[in-house]
Amino acid sequence: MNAIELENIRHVFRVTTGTIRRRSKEIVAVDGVSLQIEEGELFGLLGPNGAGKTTIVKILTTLLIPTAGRVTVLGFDAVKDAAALRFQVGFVLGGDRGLYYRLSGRDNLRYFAELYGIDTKKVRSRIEEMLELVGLRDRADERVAGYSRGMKQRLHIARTLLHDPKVLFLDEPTMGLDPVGARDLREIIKRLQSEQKTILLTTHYMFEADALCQRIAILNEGRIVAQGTPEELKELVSDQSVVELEVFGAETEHLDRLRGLDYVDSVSIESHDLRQVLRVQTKLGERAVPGLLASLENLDVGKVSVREATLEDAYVHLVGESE
Amino acid sequence: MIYYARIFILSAKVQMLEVTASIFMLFIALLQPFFIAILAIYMLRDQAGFEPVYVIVGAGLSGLFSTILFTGSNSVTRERAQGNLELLEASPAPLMVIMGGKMVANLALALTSMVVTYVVGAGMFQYPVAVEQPAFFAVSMILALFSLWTMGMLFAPLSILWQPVEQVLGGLEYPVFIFCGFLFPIALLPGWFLPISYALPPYWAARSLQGSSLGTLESDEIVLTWLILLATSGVSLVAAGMLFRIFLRLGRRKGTLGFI
Repeated sequence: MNAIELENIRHVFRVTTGTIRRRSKEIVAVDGVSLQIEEGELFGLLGPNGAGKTTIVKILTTLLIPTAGRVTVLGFDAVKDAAALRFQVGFVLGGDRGLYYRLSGRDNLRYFAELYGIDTKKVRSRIEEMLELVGLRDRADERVAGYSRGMKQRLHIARTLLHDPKVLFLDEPTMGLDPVGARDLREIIKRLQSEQKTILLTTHYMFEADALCQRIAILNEGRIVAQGTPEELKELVSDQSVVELEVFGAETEHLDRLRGLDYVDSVSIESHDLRQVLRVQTKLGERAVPGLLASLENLDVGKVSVREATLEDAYVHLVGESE
Repeated sequence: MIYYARIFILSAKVQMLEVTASIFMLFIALLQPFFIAILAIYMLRDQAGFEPVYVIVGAGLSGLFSTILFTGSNSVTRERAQGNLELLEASPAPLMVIMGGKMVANLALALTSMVVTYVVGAGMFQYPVAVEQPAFFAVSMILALFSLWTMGMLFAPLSILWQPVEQVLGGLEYPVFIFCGFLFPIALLPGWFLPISYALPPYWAARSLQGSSLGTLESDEIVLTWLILLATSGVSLVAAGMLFRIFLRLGRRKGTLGFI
């Protein structure tokens, strides 16, 4: 049975600029998205910034009314039955905002426990249980203002689980966390999935989606460009290899030159201080290397390696360019 | 009902912590009425029929109103800036109940305005500031606080849609001081101003507080003033309820709940 259903969802934001001569323009954030997520499934939503991931999460959590389309969560219409639906879902929006910094972690949880109408007799034990789950019991009486980003994010998770929601929306929950904090959070997400919670996870990290999600949809410019299990998505680039070239001082013209080669499917660039890594997807594998090096003739090239395509490469292939 | 009462009380407690840490709000509640009281006393003390109690109560009311005016809209803006507005709206608790609790905390802060102006009158200028009808004054004060609470509830939903609304509302301060007769009687205003004054709950709050302090109102007059005060406040509260519903729906359409 489906826990979440989106039917042809569209959302348009109207942005106005200017004081005297007001100009408005429409931004299509979500453009005809349809999705079905089964009960107990951990579903990943991937896409670059501005792809529409957060807009979809806000529509599902009743914070946005879509311009068109129909959304149901656990059989509740997210627009018409918003009040009833709010007891059934929990969400974490990325970043460390959304907490009362002058209150302690425990008082933050107490406030939200009241808002969700948790039985007074159970509030204290439920808060303790959640603090234990996210590993914040020792710091629960300190003001949130002194918490690290990871602690704030764990407190968010505790807050969202207080009323034991059946469906969870986690919007980039590991964003900005250090590797240990992110790993701990992923362990919590795995544990929640083992409790048969339906989870919609948005993330920028492909390995995270690969490790956690049963199915993934890739979103670009408000539309779903691919959907399937991580293996099915990797299959889309199974005939591809990725040539990684370490270079110094690459500019747009170099990338354009590579993109102009008929055996190159896509090129992405990642900068590390002075050094850059160019990732070129091609069906030729090692045979493409001489041609690629020739195209970068004026550039200092360091290490060159060839490997099989991963989910991240599938993502780059589908979305077109890296961010 | 108990659920709403608990949300109301806890929201008030949370807001109390927030608002007492705001330098701006402390300025509005403590320093502004201090300067208004001094200014009004210097301007009016040589006038015939000068009543220090009238000015002290009026200056206190101006501080009360200013605090409510700013904290009313600021309560929503602050929640949005902290990223909490979406969490509150997405919870099953009605935002109007949450904001109602927060407004009570704002009123508690605003009450310090009254204390400040009393200290200015009785302490700095050594005026006798005895209240003529203490029982009427006490009831008038409770009703005045209720009316200002309803005004705060009216201002709060405006900032759900328009984020710079605080600056716009700032311009309402002095017109309300004038229309409501906080510092001088509205009888001094042109006749066509009077219907506007009569429609504003703070006018009736000022009338009953100043009347009971000076002992210039008969019992039946003060009761009538209370009834009108309750009626105009009731209209404000109903209008606030409608604005919350309409603006929350519009905010959910336009996506203004989460912007900073």
